[in-house]
Amino acid sequence: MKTQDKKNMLSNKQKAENNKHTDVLTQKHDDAKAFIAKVDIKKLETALRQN
Amino acid sequence: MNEENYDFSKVEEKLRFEFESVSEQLVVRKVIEYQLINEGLELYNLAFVDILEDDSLSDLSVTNNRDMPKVLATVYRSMLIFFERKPTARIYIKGSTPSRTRLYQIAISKYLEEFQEKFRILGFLGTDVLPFEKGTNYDSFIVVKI
Repeated sequence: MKTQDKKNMLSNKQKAENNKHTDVLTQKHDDAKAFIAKVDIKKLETALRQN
Repeated sequence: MNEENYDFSKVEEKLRFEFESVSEQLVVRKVIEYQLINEGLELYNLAFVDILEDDSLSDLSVTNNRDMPKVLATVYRSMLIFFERKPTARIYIKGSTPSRTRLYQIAISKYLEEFQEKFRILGFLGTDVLPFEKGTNYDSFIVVKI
């Protein structure tokens, strides 16, 4: 196999691994975002501002 | 929280931290990632996952590396770095399981006086947000820098 082909294979493998990572983390962030979307933002803003 | 903690092997602009949990039996790579989830509130989600041997990520794996205080102290240190970069931001934290959320709650309660010198902690009960109090089982948390 040519060196460039090997490099491409490694690059594709790395991309696949990065995508796997992105999927799990994206799901976790999306879950959190979905939860916050259900919260009364005005009340949350008030709670965040209180000392 | 003066527990010994791990050095980060990588700190990236996207607020992702990686470190290794090390014991005589096992080395486990871990990722902490902060992602903006509400721009108006400047609220970031803290995601904490393991990198498995096949290089996939898991938020449900059980390491059993007997270094939980050190791991939690490392997560805490990542928060300090996060707030150095984004002092007006807020961090949303929820464990991947109720027992992990409970673990975070125990850690917050244990160091609450120390935390409250630097941060204000809020807890969610359902969608209601309240000031954190010891003895209440919250569903998730928000950390605000004072």
